[in-house]
Amino acid sequence: MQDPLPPPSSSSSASPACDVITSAVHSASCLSAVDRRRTNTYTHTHTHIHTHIYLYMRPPPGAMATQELQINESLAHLKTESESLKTKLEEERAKLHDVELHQVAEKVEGLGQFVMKTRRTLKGHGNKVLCMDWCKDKRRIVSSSQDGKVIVWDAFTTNKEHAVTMPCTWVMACAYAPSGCAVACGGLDNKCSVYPLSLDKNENLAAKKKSVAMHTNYLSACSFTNSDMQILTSSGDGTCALWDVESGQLLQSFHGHAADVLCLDLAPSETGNTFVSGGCDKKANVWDMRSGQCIQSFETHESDINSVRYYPSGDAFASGSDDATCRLYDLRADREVAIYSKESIIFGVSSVDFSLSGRLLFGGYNDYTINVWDVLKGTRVSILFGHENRVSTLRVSPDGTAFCTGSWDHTLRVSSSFSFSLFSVISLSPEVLLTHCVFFFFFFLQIWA
Amino acid sequence: KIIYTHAPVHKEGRHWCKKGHCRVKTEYNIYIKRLTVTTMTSNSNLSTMRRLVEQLKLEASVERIKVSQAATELQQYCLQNAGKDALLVGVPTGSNPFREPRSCAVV
Repeated sequence: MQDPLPPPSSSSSASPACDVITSAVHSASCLSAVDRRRTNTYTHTHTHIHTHIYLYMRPPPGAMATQELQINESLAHLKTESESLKTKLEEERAKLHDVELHQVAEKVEGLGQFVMKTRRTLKGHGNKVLCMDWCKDKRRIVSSSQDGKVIVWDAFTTNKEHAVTMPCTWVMACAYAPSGCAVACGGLDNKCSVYPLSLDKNENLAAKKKSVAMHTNYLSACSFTNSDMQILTSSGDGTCALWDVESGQLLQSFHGHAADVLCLDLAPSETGNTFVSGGCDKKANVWDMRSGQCIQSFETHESDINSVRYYPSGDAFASGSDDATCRLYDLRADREVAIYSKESIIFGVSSVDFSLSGRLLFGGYNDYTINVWDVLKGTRVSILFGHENRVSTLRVSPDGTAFCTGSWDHTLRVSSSFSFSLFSVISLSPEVLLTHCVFFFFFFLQIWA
Repeated sequence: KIIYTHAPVHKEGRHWCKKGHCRVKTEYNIYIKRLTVTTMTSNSNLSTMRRLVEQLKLEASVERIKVSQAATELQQYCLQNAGKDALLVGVPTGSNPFREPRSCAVV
């Protein structure tokens, strides 16, 4: 993985001082190589870089020593400055932390227990479903799976409208264009490809493929901005990028994550030009799309952040992580304001989404369930079963009537809340009424457990 | 606290996969995220340190409001839009687009 460091040859060292420095430096780098093997990470160390400088550049020994000292001094100075800034930031944030969200929401009526029901099951993928997205017409869904297939469904009728086979496997990201005329997808091929959809079902979609984004590692998430013309992508190489669809040109890139970026979400407002991204470095960063700057950064999760989603008003966002918690961060208070977790939940969250009003937070978990949280009170209001493998993706429809979940059990399920009007109950015959009551009794027992 | 990355697999006994111990790719638990780990802890590099300090200065200068105010506004938004939220209040079965299709008999 990494080329072995050349040992310091005795003939190249000009003086004893230089020799000592290079040997000390080399031993330190060897140590880092051992670390590398153990933890399986790249570690660009200060000493590693300086080894190369000393072996290839060989400045006079006196100047070299002072240069090294100067660099060390400024590095130490910068380190102390960064530490002090970090503590100052924490202090500033803590000053405004006067109350918790659930305390403010004490007077709000509780939601009681919810019943959700699966309305449609979309079967047709041959392998794990990795990602899905709704179309703005609230009826079409695009989903991608591990076998390279990207399918466009009509959720009302469960018909497949289009199917494309990508040349790569593990298509981890897919998105529907706002106009409904194209889909974007990508994965292990490090690229994001846009396929224009046509009404003609027999047309070969793969022929019209347009390669838009190029990353140096896998594509983890993609999303169209407010128009069909720009795509935002995030990748395993630690960067996010904004691309122009027509020309395939890179418009802006966003650097700041120290590890793979796993998810991103655009701010909901029309004029908003910020987005949030979450990564394996446990950080969630909020970026300004025009300048490429990271405006805010939140690091309270204990493990990789798998999913981030903006609150419908745009003032907050939720994140779901492998540490089995979902957290709500407020952008104007610049801190985490709520944690949604339970002792009994030990499996990571793969995806989160809000309902239309923002009162409910849906989380798809790796233990095959979907937990529904009351955002204001911090309690769980419902738990859904049904999937036979981990839930990998979850999105609420644009008008908030239903939500769709994709899972490693090769299916997608569209669910909505189950409510029955009193009129329809009264009009049922006694036997049917009795079986309904028994059914609900057992259902509620399961939820309470 | 133990963090599990993989869900239990119900095949000839249980296979619990704890993070850090599972390097073997099993046929049903290949999790793509860990295939390419590129953690770069470049804290000691001078230019990255400078950038970090600049970034921290920028973040420290952000305008903040009190949590109580932010929480009240979140709550207000929730309550204002609660009526429109179909997943929250439910819709009458007649207008739910995802209800089971009922067959009509033409007399």
